[in-house]
Amino acid sequence: MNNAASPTTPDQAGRTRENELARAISFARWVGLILPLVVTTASTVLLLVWLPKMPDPAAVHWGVTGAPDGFGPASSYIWLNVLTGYGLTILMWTMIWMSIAKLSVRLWSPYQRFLAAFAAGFSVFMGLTNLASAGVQLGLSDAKDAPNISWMIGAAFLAWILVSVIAWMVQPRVDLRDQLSLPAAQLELSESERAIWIGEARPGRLYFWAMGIGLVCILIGAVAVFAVPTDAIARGIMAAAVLLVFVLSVMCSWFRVRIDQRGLEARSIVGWPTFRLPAEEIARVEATEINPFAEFGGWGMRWAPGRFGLVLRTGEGVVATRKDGRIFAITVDDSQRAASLLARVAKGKRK
Amino acid sequence: MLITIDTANERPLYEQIADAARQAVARGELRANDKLPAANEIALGLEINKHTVLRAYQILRDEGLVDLRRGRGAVVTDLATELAALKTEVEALARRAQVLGVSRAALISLVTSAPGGSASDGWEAGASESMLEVTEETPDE
Repeated sequence: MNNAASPTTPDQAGRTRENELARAISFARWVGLILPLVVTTASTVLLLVWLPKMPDPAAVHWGVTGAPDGFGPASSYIWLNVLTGYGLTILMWTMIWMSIAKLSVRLWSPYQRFLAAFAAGFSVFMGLTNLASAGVQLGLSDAKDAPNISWMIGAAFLAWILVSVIAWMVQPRVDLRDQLSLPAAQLELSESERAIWIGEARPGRLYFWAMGIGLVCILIGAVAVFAVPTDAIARGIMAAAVLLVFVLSVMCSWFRVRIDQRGLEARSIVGWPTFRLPAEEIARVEATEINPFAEFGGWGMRWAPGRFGLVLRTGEGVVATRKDGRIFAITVDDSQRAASLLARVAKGKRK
Repeated sequence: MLITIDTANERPLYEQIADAARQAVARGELRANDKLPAANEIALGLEINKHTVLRAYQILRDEGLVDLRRGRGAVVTDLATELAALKTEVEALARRAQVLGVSRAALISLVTSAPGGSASDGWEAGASESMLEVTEETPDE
């Protein structure tokens, strides 16, 4: 799938890369956008056709015994299918788009391939589940007579996995993350000179708004739950969970960064956590464009085997490779100077 | 913001640190209402005495470039905006001097001896030198 012919000129390499990227995007669009939209639309149309034949109120939730224990208007199915089916597809596709829309560096990696495959499988699962739940009630006068649908849900779940796996395999294997880039030019420092670099890894505007809106929605949801009389334990858990989400979000969204002869230190604005990259562990430093969605699967404090990033926006940043091969990335302004100093202190420790 | 000091240079360390801050302002890296890093941090990183850094901050305060506020630390004033705006004019001046064949040192002396400044209002040689150093760094931007 990857281009086997070795390009002889940088121009050819660039065009090959663009071709691969275009191909990956095209396949992902078919399985991750078009397929889910078609599946969701088809199932919604069918649900609309079935609407008049369903009991009112209809069963919308089944209990562990297999009998329906939650009831509501039949139109709930329409809403559910539309919101989850289209909603999740839009969410997945937005995340994919985030990694390829920025004009500086467009990257493709298994992350996006996964998102597209997930969207495909999930839309099938939701469609089947809703169709099954509504379908067994057709012609019934009383929703309480609705039969057990456990095996249907199980089958829908299997379909999810199967469709996702196929959607994954159908897409080409394209990984454009490891591009050749030059190591940072070391800062010239004489024996008598010392330098430090101080900056911040700040959340980008998009990240800030996305997080903010998300947190507000969670807060609204929590308030809505609190408004309904529930037992104290449930409320306690809810409150603790919301608080945890808020605290973790703030902790990992803004870091103060210092580079000196010891290495790099990134400290959260709330004081903890602090991440340190000792100078003696560094093998290579680059100032480069960082694409959080393609390289780390998203914004924020990100970990994957072999890589760790404090990537709070798309754009310039410092990427250091440790001697054991692990990658440390951090998005900061003035990354050229930061990288040049880090490269210099790393060299200093290698003496 | 990069701060470099040269322990071998005869210019006092606190002046060098103040230079770094002025240059950052001239480059637009430090803007009005930005907070300068804590003196501790700089002292730790450069392995110098904290009071050296504090002295630098006091010099900047005397120049009107920062406010020293309890609890908040050193905050850049609106003067920073003016200083950055001045950079364009200084660049033009430097270019013209170059065209005329006037040396950088001669130009600096001219600036230092220009009317309107005096030792008491804090317009030290350092500030003009820093500005012109920045201009040297960025020849064709």
